[in-house]
Amino acid sequence: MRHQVMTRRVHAPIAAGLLALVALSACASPEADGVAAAATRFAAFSATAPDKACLLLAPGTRRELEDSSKSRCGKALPEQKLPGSARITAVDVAGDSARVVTASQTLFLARFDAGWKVTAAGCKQVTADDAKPYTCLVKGS
Amino acid sequence: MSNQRRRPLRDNSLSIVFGLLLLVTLAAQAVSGAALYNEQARTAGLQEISFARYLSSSQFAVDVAENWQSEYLQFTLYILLTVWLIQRGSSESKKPGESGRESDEKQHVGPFALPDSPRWARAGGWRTAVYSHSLVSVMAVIFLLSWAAQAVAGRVANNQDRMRNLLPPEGLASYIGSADFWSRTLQNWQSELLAIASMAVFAIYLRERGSPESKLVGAPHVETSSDD
Repeated sequence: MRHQVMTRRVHAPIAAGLLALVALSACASPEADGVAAAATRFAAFSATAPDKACLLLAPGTRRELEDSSKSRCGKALPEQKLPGSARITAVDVAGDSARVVTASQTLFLARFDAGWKVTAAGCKQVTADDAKPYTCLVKGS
Repeated sequence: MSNQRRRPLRDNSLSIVFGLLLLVTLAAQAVSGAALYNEQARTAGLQEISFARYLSSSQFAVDVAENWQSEYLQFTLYILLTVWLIQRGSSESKKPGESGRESDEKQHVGPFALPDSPRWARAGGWRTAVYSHSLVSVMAVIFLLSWAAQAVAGRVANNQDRMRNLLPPEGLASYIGSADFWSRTLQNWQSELLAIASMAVFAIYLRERGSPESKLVGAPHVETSSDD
């Protein structure tokens, strides 16, 4: 699994330390492991235990899913036919956002006080143009 | 040296006041930046962050670094180009005919050093050569470090936004060629160059009584330097 981690931890006083701090911001961190674990759990639960998977959705994404399907999350999620667990090929973390690429789908996550939550799942890049967003089966508004 | 008593606060008041102003404005920038960050997070339905966390964020770092790099670039260019370039009538310029590196005698280096000249100005050889360019060298190094910091932090901040918007993250090389990097860079450069150009020209015709950045109030417009 490739961990391409861009953390924003800095450990020095402001003024003179700022430049050094920023230079350190490309160092690896264990954050990617937390992101990968959240994505793996979501992918596993989305088919077998949707109520548990719903707990791993970001609030805005869950609300959008329920609003658009006019049913509760636990019922609506299986209807999206999300791909199940698959081998993770890349994890990218930048600040409070993350992307997990698996063999079957791409997931986007955001950091919350309770941990990393899925903001979009079942995503595919339908064009080579990096200025175009992924299309996703589940996403926030 | 005058026989006035040394008073550290008064003797260093310019540096102290600007240092304090830097800290105050940096703190104010951090407060407003954190508020903006959290406003955007609320809009996107995402987690707001603490002030301490914002201080260690790439968003804050890139906003600081992009301004720092342009300031140090401005002074690097200004120090260097005023060696050769002239603005007739400006207190910011050498007199016409004096452009260039100037003689050792005029610069008080090597055998022409004064009794209280810095040691490396007197030493000759590589030491004097290094010391002769130490100001621009340090400014240029800080500029390059700040610019590099802007690139590194800017990439993380930009990738955070990109992934919020379901876009793929960019690598560093790709980011350095991106519109975000160059937009941040050039909007700062143009404003610094505007300030320099206008200062050089305004100083021909306008005055601030008592400021060493100005010619004497009664000095003629054609006088290029108020040093003598």
